This record gives sequence, structure tokens and C-alpha cells, in this order.
Amino acid sequence: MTDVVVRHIPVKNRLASLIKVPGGKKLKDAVADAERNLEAVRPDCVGRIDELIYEIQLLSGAVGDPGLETRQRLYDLANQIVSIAGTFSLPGVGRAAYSLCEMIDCTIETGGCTRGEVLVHVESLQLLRHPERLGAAGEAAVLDGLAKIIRHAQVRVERAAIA
Amino acid sequence: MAGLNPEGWINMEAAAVLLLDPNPFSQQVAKQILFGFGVRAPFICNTVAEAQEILTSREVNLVLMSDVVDGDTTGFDFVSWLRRHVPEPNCFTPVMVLSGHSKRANIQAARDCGANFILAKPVSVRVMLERVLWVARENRPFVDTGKYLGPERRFHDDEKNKARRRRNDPPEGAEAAPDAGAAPDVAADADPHTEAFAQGLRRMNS
Repeated sequence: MTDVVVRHIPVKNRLASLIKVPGGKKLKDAVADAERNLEAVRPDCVGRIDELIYEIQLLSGAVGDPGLETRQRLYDLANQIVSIAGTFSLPGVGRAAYSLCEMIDCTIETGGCTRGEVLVHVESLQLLRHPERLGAAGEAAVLDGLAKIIRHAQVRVERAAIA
Repeated sequence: MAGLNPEGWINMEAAAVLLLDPNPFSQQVAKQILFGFGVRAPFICNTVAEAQEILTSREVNLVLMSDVVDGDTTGFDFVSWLRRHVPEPNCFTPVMVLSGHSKRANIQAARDCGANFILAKPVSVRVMLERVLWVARENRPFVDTGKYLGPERRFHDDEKNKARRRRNDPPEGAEAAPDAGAAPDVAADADPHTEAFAQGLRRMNS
């Protein structure tokens, strides 16, 4: 058995002393200022989410199951949506995009996901983009449906691993 | 403001913060939050090369970064490089990684990269402020095991395990959770289910 040598290194936390310097702002003001700043960039970011959904839709329009390159591009686009959608009151869109990432990632060892599985994510993203039309129950139903799609894909992957 | 004392104070004016995110929109989100917290002039980096240049030439007090940074280089690779190859004091700089979807292949790297926090995107303003205050208050030593170099993890892991146990415990009066190994509620063939769901979506959309 090899002994692992663990070295403990005391570290001076320079950030600790900086944030205690007199001045700055109250925490409630820091939160309010940050939220106000985010409101200023909301139109650009929501516009970008629409562009990303459209790009995903275009990519999913091709005939046949998506190839490796297309899946990688779909993953990157969806992951960009994950990064910002929830910040701008579109948590359902973020969760659907996360689901698409999860599906692409979990099927990577078994030849990838099907076109149908991508298409239901595209339609879900488009529906969830307008939560006011969908309503809370509708949003929950769509997300529940996507969760089942992911579980199907996972079962398929597990079976392929056993076979 | 759960977890935050709204009357507490923070002064980020003199803090040198490095933000590394190649995506202009998620970079914009993080930047606006930092400005709101009072950060004056963060180092904004679009590439790993830009961040490396700053970290090897300027003192940095906090790194906030995306898990996706540059082509094949993950944010976790970058944190490992920072811990192993950057001279003191920057190699000990607190690092918060903002992660979108993490690929299975990266989970071990995320655990072992030496970041102080890995936060799931989207991160709310309050959570971000809590974490900044947390890393500023913490006094954990670093440990170097050869395979891992970063903040000592035992405290963190214990806290996480406690939280996990709490989440998994059934609430009082409730029945225990179903067997985690039980087969999921899915039919044998995926395609009919996908098609049925697609039809349901189309009905909702019409």
C-alpha cells in the first residue's frame, strides 16, 4: 500500500480583509443594485434565448437522427440557454434546455438520441417560452413529459450497456 | 433575505475580481451582478489565454468563471492549472465556478479541480452574494494530496452529506421514499412514448 502524503497549507484570505474596509454598500442595496442591473440587460438576453431556440429548431429540422456534430452543436446551444433563462423569469425554458443537454449527454455512448427526442424538446422550448399562455399546470405537464423522455433514454442506455 | 443580513455591509470596491466566460450573454449576467455588488473594474476575460495573462501578472482576489471556457479546455482544467502552476498568492485565490449542464465525463474533474464552490446556473443574485461572503469569511487551509490541490474539503463534504441526508429523509408523517433501485415508470419502447408526448405538445400548441 502506498502512503499518500497530505500537505496542509495555511492560506491568508485576502478577500476577507478587503470586503471589511469601511465603505461599500449594505447587502440589501447590493442585491437591489444587481437586480436592477440585470433588468437593464433583460431585453438583449431574452432576445438571445429566442435566437438560440430558433437555431435549435433549424438544426433539428434535418431528416434522420442527428449525427455527432449536430448533437454537439445542439448541446452547446441548449447549454447557453441553461446559463441565462432562469435569470430572466424563464425557468421552464432553462429546465427544458437542461433536459436536452442531459438527453444528448446520457445517450452519447449508445449512438445518440433520436430526431423525435430532439423535436419534443424543441416544441417544449417553444411552449415554455410563453409561460403566461401555458399556465403553471401546463408548464408542469410539459416538464414532466420531458422527464419521462429522459428516463426512457436512460433505460435504453442501461439496457445497451447490459447487452 | 434568507441567509443574508440585509443590514450587513460589503465593500468590493478594492477587490480585484477576474471573470472568465467566453459566452457574451452569461458573461453579461455575471458582470452586472458584480457591478451591483460594488466591484469597480473586474478583469473581464473571454479566453483562457487572457485569464492566464492576468493571473500571472496581477494580484487577483476572487475568480468567477464558467465551466465552459475554451474549446476542449473545461473550466475545471483551468482551475487545476491555476492551483498547480500559478505562483503565490494567486494560486490560493478563491474560485467560484458557474456550471450549466455538466457532462458525465466532467463530474470527477469538477470534484477534484480545487474550486471553492461550483454553483449551478442560473445563480440568483442572493445566492451569489451569499457565496461571495462565504468565501470571504472562510478560513480553510489548502491541502495537497498529489492528486488534489485546493481548499480542504472535509468540512464541505460533511455539510453536504448532512444536507443530502436531510433531503432524502422522508418528512415527518410521510412514508419512506420508494426504493431507489426500482424500475422507472416507463414502457419498454421509447419511440411510442416520445410520439405520444409530441402529440400532446402539438395539442397544447394548437
